[in-house]
Amino acid sequence: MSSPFKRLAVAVTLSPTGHALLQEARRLRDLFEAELKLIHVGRRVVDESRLKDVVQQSGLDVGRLEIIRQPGDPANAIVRRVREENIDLLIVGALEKENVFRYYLGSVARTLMRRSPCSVLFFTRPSNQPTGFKNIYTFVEFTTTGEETVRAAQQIASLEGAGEIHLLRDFYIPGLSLVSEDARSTEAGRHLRSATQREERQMMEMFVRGLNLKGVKLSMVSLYGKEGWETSNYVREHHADLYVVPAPERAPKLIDRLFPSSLEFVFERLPSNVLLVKGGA
Amino acid sequence: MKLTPEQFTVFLVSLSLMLLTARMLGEGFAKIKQAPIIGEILAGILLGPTVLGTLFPRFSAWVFPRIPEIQYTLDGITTLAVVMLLLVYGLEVDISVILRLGKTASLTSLFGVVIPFAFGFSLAYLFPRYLGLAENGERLVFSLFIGTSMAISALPVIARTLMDLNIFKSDVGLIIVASAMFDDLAGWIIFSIILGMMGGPVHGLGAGERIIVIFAFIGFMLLVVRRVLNRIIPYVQKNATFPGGILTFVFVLAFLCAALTEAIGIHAIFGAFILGVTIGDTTHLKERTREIVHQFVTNIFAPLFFVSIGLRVNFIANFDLSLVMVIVAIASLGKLLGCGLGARLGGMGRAEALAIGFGMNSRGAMEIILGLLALQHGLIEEKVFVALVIMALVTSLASPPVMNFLLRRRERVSLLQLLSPPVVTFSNASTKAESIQELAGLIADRHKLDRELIASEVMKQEASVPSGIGNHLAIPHAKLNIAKPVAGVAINHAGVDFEAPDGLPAEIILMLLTPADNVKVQFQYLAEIAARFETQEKVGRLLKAGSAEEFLKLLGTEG
Repeated sequence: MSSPFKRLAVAVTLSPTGHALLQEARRLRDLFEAELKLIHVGRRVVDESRLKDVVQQSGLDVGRLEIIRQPGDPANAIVRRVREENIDLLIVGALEKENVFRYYLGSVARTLMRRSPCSVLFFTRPSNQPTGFKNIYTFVEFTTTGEETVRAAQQIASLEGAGEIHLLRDFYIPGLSLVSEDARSTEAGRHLRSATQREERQMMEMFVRGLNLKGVKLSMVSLYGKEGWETSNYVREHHADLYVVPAPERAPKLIDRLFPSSLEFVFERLPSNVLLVKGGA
Repeated sequence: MKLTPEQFTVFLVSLSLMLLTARMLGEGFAKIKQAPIIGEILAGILLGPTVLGTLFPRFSAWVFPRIPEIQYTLDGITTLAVVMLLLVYGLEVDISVILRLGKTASLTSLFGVVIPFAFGFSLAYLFPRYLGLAENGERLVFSLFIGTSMAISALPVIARTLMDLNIFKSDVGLIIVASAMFDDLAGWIIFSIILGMMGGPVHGLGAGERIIVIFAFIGFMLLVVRRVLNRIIPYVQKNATFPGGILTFVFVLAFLCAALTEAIGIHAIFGAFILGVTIGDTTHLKERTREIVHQFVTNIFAPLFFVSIGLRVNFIANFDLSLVMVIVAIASLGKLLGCGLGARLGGMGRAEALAIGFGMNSRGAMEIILGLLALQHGLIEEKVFVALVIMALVTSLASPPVMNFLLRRRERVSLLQLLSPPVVTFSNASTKAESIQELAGLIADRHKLDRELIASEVMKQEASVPSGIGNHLAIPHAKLNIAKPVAGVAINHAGVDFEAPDGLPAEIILMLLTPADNVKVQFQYLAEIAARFETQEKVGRLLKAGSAEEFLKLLGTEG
């Protein structure tokens, strides 16, 4: 079974979830049969021995812990190291809701989402006894990155023995409710919606066929509503433990943050652990 | 001041007469695939001084008595109606869509505002008296207004037309909807600035300060209130009765915002509109809630408002033919030129660009509301108002048939276009490789491509996933370095094995080659093809074709 990632790095913190995150990282290292690098970036002098204790407790090699002292934004330092070390998956802890500022959490996660040169796995609820990803969802986007995203989800599902992945897509027809002023036009609107839904499903089926994924069951869901939000909400309601999404092709700007669209909704409020797949790796 | 029982009786009778006539004519227009509001406005012209008042002055005076008490009451209701109407229109303006307009839609909407505005503004500035500047109106403000009234579009009317023509989801439809959203938003903001520029200080706010307040209000609503609503709306929808709770919530907020903008000297409707935009953008408002708000307002309050237009003004006495013609001409010319040019620059074909221009040209309700406010503020004379209403009616009436004509051959033809003139062959190939070689040759000859390259890429794809779909259909395909998708069909009555899941040999073999840099288009075509050949009956009918032309003809009538 091929593994999607070979060179992992985890951002080590002294936060309450820091220890659990290391457990998760260790499990993934074993699962992917990959290398794991530990990075800590701090602007103030932290208690180095405490940091090393945390690492040791999680059964990892303290010798591999790299401490980078960096004034300013820790995200930049992480991005630089990740690039230098040619890492292909960065593992970080993240708060579910993004707008609360916390050291390492929140805002750092968003910067990584925007600027990371490799794929990033955000753990919202890392566990001290990791159980693996059994309930995996992925967003389908008809791009090359989108193909890699579904493949990554399938590989993880196979390695985890999850048996099934849920493929999601949502679509929206702007202005459609404007025509719903009487029964006839409301009916016509609904008809258009369900026809589009069928088309979307058919496209997903063709897309999946072309990927020729073996060994996992695929269930496909096409939702109507605000693009990106509807799927994200679906993932949350179904208590997913991993949501695999493609990285946006262009870096989001301030305007996207003020008026989020499509996958930015995922990062406004993480619906579960999220794996952001960077294309062209 | 209080209505006597007799007055109130008359008032109720007149209300029901208004509603009944408006709805009847509205229904009539809906039947012939026109916007109901055209009928509703005509109903007002019939009931008002123009027709009823002239033909049956005594009945008219009885049912619509010109006494202040009744006038005030009616005014209150129609103003409320227009506030609610703008709330509904605002709900449909999607900020995310506007912010992420594609190239074509950006050009269409931008040119669609700038050019008509420039036309209207310069004409009004050069010939203010001819265009009916009111006695002591300001020339600059007046010219700005005429410019705006040329620039605005009417999304609701357009949306309906798109639905009736079944092109809501086509490229043309999406561009029109997105551009109309932008033009409406831009139009109302410009108009609120114009209102802000007029008149003396209100609550100590001068004209300049009022304009700053307008932008502060928009910013505050979209950036702060929207986020707050994101939290409150799910709570209301969950805990209050549905739809009562959420309806109350939406309307209470709308009235409060309307009150706020009215208080700072911009019209109440602007507040309702911006609130609509704000609420419409939240992710939590159920589709059902939108529909209910929409139906409630569109079927009761909107007709009352539109019919009341005709009651205010005598359309014959204030009819000025040359003015009407000039206004209709510059409005249409401006929009057609602006949107047409924008769409053309954005890469649309000539007919599509023109269709977009005509779609955007329908002014409908927006124009009339704008005109009425200008009339009430003493900015324009009645004859200009009449000309604007007629312009709104004419442009809205013209759109559907013209668009239908321009786009008549463009419904669901994407696959057909790929295959015509016929790239169809009758084949005796007995193996997959042979069949693919043959189709590759057919397509290579037609499009001057490399036959060997096509065949090898398709075979590579076949090796990873066999393309037999089932029902005697196979779609061998590949992504190539080409500019646009190409396709070809082989009909093979003997059948070739393409390893379909149902084990049936492929008798229709459709080869599809798509550009390597556009993954999506491949799935669109694949999905369309699979849907068209969904059942054995459909495939069976197509297999009866005796010639390439007949095959395409049969394909055109399917699905």
